Amino acid sequence: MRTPRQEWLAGLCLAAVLVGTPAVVLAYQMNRVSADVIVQVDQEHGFAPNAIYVHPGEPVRLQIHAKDVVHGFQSPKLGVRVDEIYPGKPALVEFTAPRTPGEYVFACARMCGTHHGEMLGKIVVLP
Amino acid sequence: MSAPEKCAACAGGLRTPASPAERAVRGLNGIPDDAKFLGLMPVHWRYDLTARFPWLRKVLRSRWSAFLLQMLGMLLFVPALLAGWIGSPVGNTNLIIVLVWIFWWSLLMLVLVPFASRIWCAMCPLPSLGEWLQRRSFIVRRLTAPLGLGKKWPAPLRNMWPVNIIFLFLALFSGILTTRPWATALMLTAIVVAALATSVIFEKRTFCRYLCPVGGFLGLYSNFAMMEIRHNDYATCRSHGTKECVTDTADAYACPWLEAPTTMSRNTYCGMCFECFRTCSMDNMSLRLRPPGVDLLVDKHRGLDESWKAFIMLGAAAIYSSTMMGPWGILKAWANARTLSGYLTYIAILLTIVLAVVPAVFGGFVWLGRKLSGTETPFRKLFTNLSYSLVPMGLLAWIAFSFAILLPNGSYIIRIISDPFGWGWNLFGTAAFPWTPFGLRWLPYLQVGALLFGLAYSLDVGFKVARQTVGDAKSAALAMAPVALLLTGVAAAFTWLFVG
Amino acid sequence: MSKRWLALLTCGLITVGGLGLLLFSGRASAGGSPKIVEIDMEARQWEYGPGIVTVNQGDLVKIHIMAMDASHGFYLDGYGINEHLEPGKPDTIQFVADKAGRWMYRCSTTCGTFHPYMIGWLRVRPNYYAGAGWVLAAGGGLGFTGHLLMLGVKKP
Repeated sequence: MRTPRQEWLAGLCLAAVLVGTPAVVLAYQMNRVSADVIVQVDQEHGFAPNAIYVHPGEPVRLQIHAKDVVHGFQSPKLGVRVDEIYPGKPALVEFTAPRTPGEYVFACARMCGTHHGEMLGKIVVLP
Repeated sequence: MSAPEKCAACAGGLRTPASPAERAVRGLNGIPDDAKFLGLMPVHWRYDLTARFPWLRKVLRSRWSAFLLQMLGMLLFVPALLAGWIGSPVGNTNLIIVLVWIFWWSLLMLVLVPFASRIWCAMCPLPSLGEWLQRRSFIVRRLTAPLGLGKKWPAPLRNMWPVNIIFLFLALFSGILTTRPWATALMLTAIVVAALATSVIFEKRTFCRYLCPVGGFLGLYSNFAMMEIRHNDYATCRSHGTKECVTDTADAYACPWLEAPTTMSRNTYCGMCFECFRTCSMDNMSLRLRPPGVDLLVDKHRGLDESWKAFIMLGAAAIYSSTMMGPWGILKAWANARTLSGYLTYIAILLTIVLAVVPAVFGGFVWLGRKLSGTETPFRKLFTNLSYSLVPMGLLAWIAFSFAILLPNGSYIIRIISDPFGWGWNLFGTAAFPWTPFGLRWLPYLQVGALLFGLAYSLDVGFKVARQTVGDAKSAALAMAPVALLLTGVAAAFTWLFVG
Repeated sequence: MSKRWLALLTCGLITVGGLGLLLFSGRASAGGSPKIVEIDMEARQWEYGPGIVTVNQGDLVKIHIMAMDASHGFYLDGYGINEHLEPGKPDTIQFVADKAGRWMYRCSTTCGTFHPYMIGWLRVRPNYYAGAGWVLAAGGGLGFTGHLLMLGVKKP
């Protein structure tokens, strides 16, 4: 017996959902820059967000926007440092999250004002 | 007494039984033609959606509609199951927990069951694979013999007892299931496998009818629903010899849920697949709105299996509210299975309350009513019939409970659509949406309102059923009085649990 | 027919009387001068101790709270108060209990499996919601029961 065309269409629909969804999900996950976070920084509020959660070993990209004056970004434990981030010219910081779960502190890398010493944040590598 | 509505084009109006035969088929003995719920809504009022909207009839008759509804369910189910198996292990960051226990559960209790009966069953993707395999097709009617053994479900088990047991078994793990993605994923996978296996051995939708864990309360509480699928004109069905709705034809299947649409009088086992619309050559099926609670008055197919379902659901509502929304840490520790002894204590308490304490207390009050009225009606019959008065109270208690799940936790849905697997995605820019409880200022109003509505409806249904069962109004009133007292106590107790 | 009206009247009297009593008792208890209520509270997986706190409307409530094991939170339904709690760091949550009723306080920081069920009850008396619920349930339910009993003993 010949299979009617609508059966093929329905089967295609089903295959798209059953196989396609997981395939798209996994492809997206594998090709993604995992933690793509926009960080805003100004003197009054410091880093926002000041806690960034990432998974062990995943590629992380931070896009840091200085809102008021020239700031910087440094995290010795992660081996990342940007000396100057000018307002209106976001800096891209890319690194791979450590394999060891825990908290990795980051701070402003440039004497930006009286609150410079309080401008802290942390990268949290989840278990 | 108003004359029955004859005009097929008139969508709304009274549908009083036109003949004694029709009254018997509808199981409405003892219900006066002018009976009203709460003194307001005529029991026989119907609004025929398929007469009012011809396009709706067309859509429902299409063989595609069933498939597309199931695909909608599948579209939610596949990513959810994937998230459950490989996504984040933290419950509120995982699609499966948020989708199943916050979105689906609230949708079911607050919208689908009270307003649209078992419409969920039309889009439930869990039994689809089995059904397609049996039919060897997705959409078209194949004339080949169905795949599988096609056995009939054993007669002694053609009731709600299997479902009561399966539901209770899962209820023992409710604390685990609602908080661990892997547990929900395991449960759904097991259901898919079980449904597939059942459809290989048994005929049609045997799984949905007799084995689905949620099928029991969906069935019982759908008796309260404001929507129904019924034959349009009984005389047409009666004179029509072919009855395609109960035997497969060349164009469509007989009722997959093993119902007989010509005589179906309750929503309990109607999965709303609309196959009867497709098969009926007389185009005599209709989808109608109605006042809630009509099927609770139907004096057919009542049984202790459904009574116990009502007890289980009422008891479970109280226990879940105490465990999940109560201030008692010990209950939470037990339900979370922190220690084996604590967990066993929880199981023992849960099973004792729902299987023994609730029925015993209810039985005591029915016994008192029977003595008070001096009626000849057997105790068992009075007990069974009056237990249906617990349905409105139980459903509305679950509605009050579901408000208290949805309002505090609904905002997780906004976050989860951007990051369904808890992997740090941000598909729609809402991944950082904070947990934002919504409308909790109004929660007490919603909960108290729901409970009072449930009480009023239960009292009303109870008295109608009592008159139907006992016969004369005087004895019925006395038989119902203690049960009315009990229902008042139940409403007061739930009020204490939710807002007291 | 007169019996029916009698039943309705009883039902109405219970309801109106109950509601009046509720309002009166509410006024009476609210009449007392507001106090400062200080409460020591521990938050741990997955309960608050104490789990039930009772105050009067208008009281100034100071909850001295500390998370004992993990990061927790304190969100108060109806009031919208939200506080994050770090383990071992004492914190004080202070508010005027101006909204009567029973409200749940719940954890707002994901703290483990039973996080969504980490809940306590704050009772701000007079509890009009529960009171109205009970009065209406009693008025309707007891009134209906009385109506049934009278129907039952009615002479033919």
